[in-house]
Amino acid sequence: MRILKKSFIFGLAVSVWFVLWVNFLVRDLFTKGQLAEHVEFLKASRHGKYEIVYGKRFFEFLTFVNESIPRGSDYNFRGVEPLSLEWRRGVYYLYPLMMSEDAEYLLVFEKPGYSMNGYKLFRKFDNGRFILKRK
Amino acid sequence: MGFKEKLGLIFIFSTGLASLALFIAGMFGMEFTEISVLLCTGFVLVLVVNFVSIHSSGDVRFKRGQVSMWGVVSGRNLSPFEPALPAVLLLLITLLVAYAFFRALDKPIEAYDAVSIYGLKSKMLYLAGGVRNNFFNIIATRFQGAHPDYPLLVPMSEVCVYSLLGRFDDIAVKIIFPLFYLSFLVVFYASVKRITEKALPALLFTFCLASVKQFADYATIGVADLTLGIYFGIGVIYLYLWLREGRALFLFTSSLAAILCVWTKNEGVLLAGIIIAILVMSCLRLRKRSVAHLLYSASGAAIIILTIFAWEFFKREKGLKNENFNLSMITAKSLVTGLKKLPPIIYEYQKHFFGFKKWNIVWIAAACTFFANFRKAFTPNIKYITILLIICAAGYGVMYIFSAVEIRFFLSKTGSRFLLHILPAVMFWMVLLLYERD
Repeated sequence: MRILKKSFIFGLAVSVWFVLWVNFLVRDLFTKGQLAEHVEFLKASRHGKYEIVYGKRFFEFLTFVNESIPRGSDYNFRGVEPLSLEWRRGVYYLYPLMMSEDAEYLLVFEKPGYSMNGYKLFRKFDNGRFILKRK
Repeated sequence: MGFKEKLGLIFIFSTGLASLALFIAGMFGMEFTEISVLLCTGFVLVLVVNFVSIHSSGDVRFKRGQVSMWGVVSGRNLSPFEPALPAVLLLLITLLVAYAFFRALDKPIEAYDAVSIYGLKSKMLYLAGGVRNNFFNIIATRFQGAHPDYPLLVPMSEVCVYSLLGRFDDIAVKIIFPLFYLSFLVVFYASVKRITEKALPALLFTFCLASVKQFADYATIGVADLTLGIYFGIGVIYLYLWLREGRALFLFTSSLAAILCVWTKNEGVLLAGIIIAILVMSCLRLRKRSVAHLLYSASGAAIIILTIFAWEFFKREKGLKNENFNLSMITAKSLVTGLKKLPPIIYEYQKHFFGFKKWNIVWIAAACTFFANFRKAFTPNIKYITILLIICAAGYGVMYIFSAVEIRFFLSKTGSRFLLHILPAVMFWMVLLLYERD
């Protein structure tokens, strides 16, 4: 009897486990849009995958920065919240360019009309995204 | 050890040891070229294959007529669906593993710690072509929050992959993590089967572990927590097997896993220290244990202690210090203020205890199994694993109490990860409580 009771409790626990697993899996895939996200990634090119992860506008800007700034230069962001996930991804992506508080280049993101004393426009991607260089 | 178990261990240990060997060679000036990395990795692979092949015995075979889900506790068969269950579980595990590979490889490294700590360091090391003298200094001074003091198993493993590929590819490199997941599931299955002597409960527990969302998610994002949980899990599993069967291979497998805990994350020092403590405790009953047990345990513990000292010495030499927690924070004054942190700590952990989304019912099941098998939890051999898990919980509690970081922030960032570190060990302990003979 005791063994049967144990077997029943064990079977019940396994059933609950299975139901919860299926429930959360289905919820993530369909209700939270994970399936649609998978399809999006599956269809995307290599470049497109980065655009999805970093955000199209931010990734375009990072690519532009990478092509514009000479190797060995240092930079700082304007318009990207320090230590945010976006900031972290930017720092990671741009390496071997390195961040610095007193940087030669300022990477201005989504701040139209931004200016700073001692810096002049170096290259412009569009009105909200451009690079300033120390004079 | 069975063939599958060996394969799992070979990947897990080869990756860890190759990353360590590559780092040491890099410190001595070796450049990371395709050839040098290939030679280094190949050398480690040969060593690990030889290591896991010694003293092997046959795998426990599937026993027909003892596999019913409803009879797993009693050993009796009551279900007409019996033959289909193992196949269904195997299929589900295969799907979970395939999904982990898919999720890992469908996007580049992008999670917070994965880019800011591990990915960044591996990119720096790979692009520099070696470990430069100023590497730690640059991390400390130019990259805020990149934690220069963190061990480098994950970054160096990523460097191995980049070097072998011959290019920087932060999508392909993520294959390491689901491979760890798959390899450990194989090892876990073999270990559980060794205890239960039946395939069905082994498959069932392997499925349960694989389907814990937190465990599966961390197999795809490129951080070190799953890896640490795996090394600690292996350390605990083979420590238990050593205590039960007295085979030196198991002891040294456990010790090697503990060493790689130290090389994976800072918390690994605590986890390796706990394995040392259990080894010492097991020797205290010397009348019942042989002198050989004492000597082997001492040598296993000594290897781990030497690794911890070597790493701590290296960190001191390089001036690397953890700002979140270090031993200088343990003072009487910080204990008084730290005790006020107990309510948020308890609150955070009860959230996880009932956090079905991330953990399913694993913690509730573990607690129920413990209370239902309370006496068994303190029988010879199993008691060491019970004590080990209690020390783990206490150790992480102490870390929270004495840490200088604001407690709610610290808990929100690390609480679930700490549970991930002990999850495989807890699952194995549940198997022991349910199936190990008294």
